[in-house]
Amino acid sequence: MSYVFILPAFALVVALLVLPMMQNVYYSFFKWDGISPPLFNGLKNYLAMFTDPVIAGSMLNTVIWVVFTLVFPALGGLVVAVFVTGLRGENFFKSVFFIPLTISFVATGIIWTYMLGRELGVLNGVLALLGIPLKPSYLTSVPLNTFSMIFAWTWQQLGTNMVMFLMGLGTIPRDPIEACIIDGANKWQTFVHVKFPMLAPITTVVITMAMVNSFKVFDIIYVMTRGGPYSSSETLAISMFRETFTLFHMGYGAAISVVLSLIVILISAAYIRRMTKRDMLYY
Amino acid sequence: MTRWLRKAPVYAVLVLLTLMWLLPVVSSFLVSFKSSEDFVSQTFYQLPTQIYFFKNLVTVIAQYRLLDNLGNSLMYSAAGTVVVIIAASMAGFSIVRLRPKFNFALFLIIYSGTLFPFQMYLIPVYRLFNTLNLYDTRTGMVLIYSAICIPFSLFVYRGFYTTIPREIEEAAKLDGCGPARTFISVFLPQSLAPTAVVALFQATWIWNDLLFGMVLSRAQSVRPIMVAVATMTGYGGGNIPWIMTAVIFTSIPTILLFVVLRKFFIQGMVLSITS
Amino acid sequence: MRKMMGLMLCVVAGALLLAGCAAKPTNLVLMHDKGGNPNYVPFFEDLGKQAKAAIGVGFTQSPYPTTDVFQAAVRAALPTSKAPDLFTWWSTYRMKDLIDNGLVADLTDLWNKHKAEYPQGLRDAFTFNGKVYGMADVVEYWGVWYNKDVFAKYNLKVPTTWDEFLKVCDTLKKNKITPMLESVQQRWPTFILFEEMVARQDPKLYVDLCEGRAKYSDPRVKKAFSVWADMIAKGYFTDPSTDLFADGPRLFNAGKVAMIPCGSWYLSVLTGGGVAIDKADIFVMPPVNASAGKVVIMEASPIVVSAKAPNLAAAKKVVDWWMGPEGNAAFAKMLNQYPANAKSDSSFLPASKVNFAKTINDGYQVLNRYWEATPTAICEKAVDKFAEFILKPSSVDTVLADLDKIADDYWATAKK
Repeated sequence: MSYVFILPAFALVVALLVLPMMQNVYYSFFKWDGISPPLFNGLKNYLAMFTDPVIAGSMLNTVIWVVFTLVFPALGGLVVAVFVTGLRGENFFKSVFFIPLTISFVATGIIWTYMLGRELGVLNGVLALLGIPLKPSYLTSVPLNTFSMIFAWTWQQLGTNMVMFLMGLGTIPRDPIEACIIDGANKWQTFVHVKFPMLAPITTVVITMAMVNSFKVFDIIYVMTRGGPYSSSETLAISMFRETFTLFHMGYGAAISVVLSLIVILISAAYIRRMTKRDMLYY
Repeated sequence: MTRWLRKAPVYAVLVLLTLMWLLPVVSSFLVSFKSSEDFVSQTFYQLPTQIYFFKNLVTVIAQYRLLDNLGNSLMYSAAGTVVVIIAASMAGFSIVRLRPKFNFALFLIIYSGTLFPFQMYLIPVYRLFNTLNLYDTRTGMVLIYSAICIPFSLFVYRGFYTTIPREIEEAAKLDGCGPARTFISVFLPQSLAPTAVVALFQATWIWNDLLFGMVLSRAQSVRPIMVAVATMTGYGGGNIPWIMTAVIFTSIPTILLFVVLRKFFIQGMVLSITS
Repeated sequence: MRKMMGLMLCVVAGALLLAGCAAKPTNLVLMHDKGGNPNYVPFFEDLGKQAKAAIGVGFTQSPYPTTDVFQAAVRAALPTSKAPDLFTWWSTYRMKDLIDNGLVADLTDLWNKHKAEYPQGLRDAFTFNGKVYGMADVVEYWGVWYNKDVFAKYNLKVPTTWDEFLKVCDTLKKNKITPMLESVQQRWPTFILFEEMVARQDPKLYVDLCEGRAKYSDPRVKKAFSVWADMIAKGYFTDPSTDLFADGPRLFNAGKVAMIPCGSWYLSVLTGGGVAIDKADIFVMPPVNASAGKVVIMEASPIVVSAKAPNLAAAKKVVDWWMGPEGNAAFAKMLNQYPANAKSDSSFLPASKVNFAKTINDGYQVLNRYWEATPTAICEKAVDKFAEFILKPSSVDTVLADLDKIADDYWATAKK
């Protein structure tokens, strides 16, 4: 009976996700253009990644994404959550950061491509209004383009993290905070010694999710720069897409996605282990 | 007064951030109200000489057949979400309470669906759909969207069901309920919060998807809405007032959904984290 | 809750029922990637209806948002029963690998039927191993669109020599108008100036380069790049982040950019972006080397029929009509472009394009566009390298060395 209950979910996921993934691993050992018959290629696709300068660049960009999504949307979400709590107009501010969350990546990409245009973009328009004699090319100068996109990403993602931290802050009991204040601690000390440690479980989730999502980031880059100019803003996910869809290197693309998956699994390993442990504790 | 002064810098930063967050929204709205001529000849902050939003909307809907795609996406969001709710709640119940052998392994296999980047399965799924005659069919779209949404939903249900006290279930067992009865009469009635969360997240995700719609469908009668929006940008950036109009028009359903289910959104976060 | 469960099951049942009656196209399908700018969506829609009215067989379209996914979708669908009946494509090298794999229907009989209506040169561009594949809907040429008002204001004439051309740029620059648009956005536009620069240096060199008989590190190629770099250094181009489609019409209309090197089809982008049709005119870029002579780049865009098209006979019937004078004119008229069929009515063309065609017919040597003239595998990587050069002109040596490596890699395996 227990298997009957799990069957629909299991069957769908295995048939449409897990088996195709295994097939993808299989493809990664072939040289294949999608039309002609595949040729067995051994580990060559994997070895080629080590000498491919574009992949090295994508790796670097991916790391930049990971680091800065930890700084901006994640840490930013925490800061906003902490400061906005109890403030007059709290709900208004929360709603503002909440709006972008509902919008698709397609829309976000379109909106920010317009915002960041050099000639007609709003941001440069604002700079001109303020009399600042700067006219950056947000999407074509390297490495500014990657940071511009991280900014657009922050615009969209900050809300999620803010909500998570808000909720975490809401569950902290009053007693230890009051005890701390009685001991003469100031706000900052209370935060560091009491609140932050109690936010640990949420912080873990936010960090894991931010890292996993920034490794996988695709849509927004695809809509805004498509990884260009000259692959300068590519991440691994985009490289894989370019190899597969514009160059028709199906095998090589598959190999990149396998490596990307391994990295993601490695990162979430700690989180999964925590989940496993708790699962054992539960019984 | 001193309290106000102390808060002043915080307000200043927040107001600045608010402006930064609202600027894209406001500018996009402004553009959607302009005609192409206004857009070409004006700067970004100027008001349109005449309100063109509805004209833009009519043009866009007629030219790109947005309503067909809108209908498809509504169907995918509704059907996909329902399939996911049924499959994931049952699986969650099974894993937490019926505890089949290897339940944790089974859970991890399903959960791995959220960890892997979609690039891992995109091409093989395309080929699979082709052999099964699911390519470019609505059934195929519902199936793939359901499969992608199940892992996260299962995670939510599983987390939630661990919080339901065992005693209730024991009582049901004593009353002679089998697992099916227990699930339907004990677990389901309490599942409103996780169900709302799953509905909110997954319906939004399906609505906003571009890639799978783009790769797995071709006919206008099957394609989801975001493909139509993206088509307008083509390789040339397209007509920006039209595009912005379409962006706003197609964002309305998800914004409404969030407004209506906002309370559950926060609860959902609690569920997916604290469990 | 049980009620809710019942409701849910109803929704699923209903949805699956809906899904069950999925689209079974009674019509032909035309796949294309031209839904943005220029926007062909309404034109294909209209043409499908016209075909239906004229010959009883119409088609519906399936536009794709991006060229990369479009290409992948076509390639993936071609060997299957879901092959599109018709699809837009590119000529020469872009078609070659599809033809090599037997995925494209042979249309030699239709070309023979319409033999008198098409110039031999065009037929040759579509011929592989003696068979003709695909049909030409429109043929366009590449030149420089200029703002007539700006030229009149500064008393500028259409340049016929390179020195005159540079003088025009110089005058514009002195008057704080950016002479030309140059873009790295959307990737492909980087080859526009590359092909102009090399072909104006030596057309034979351009052809040899495309077909692997010359090296990118050839001193003549290097010279072409140094002319280009010199113009960049003098500020004759816009910032490369300027978008050809989103920014081009607006800057052109405002008189901030005076010239835009692009295909003659760019007129519809300009007018679509709010530019008055008589504000723009076009000329062929003059040769850098006088010995290069009169050269113009051509772009012939084919409509291709899949070998496995589910409705092959019907698809060929549509092509027959579309290739004929009537169908060809109908489509070209909507696009404001040159009908490929020489017998087609072309009286709808605006004055600028009529004159442009006259100029070209006056003894110009026609070259294929880089996008099609060189193997796809080289082109797709080369456009990124050109972008690197445009953004960092000092990198010219590494760029050319990289280009050589890309080309060598390709030709080494291709000649096997």
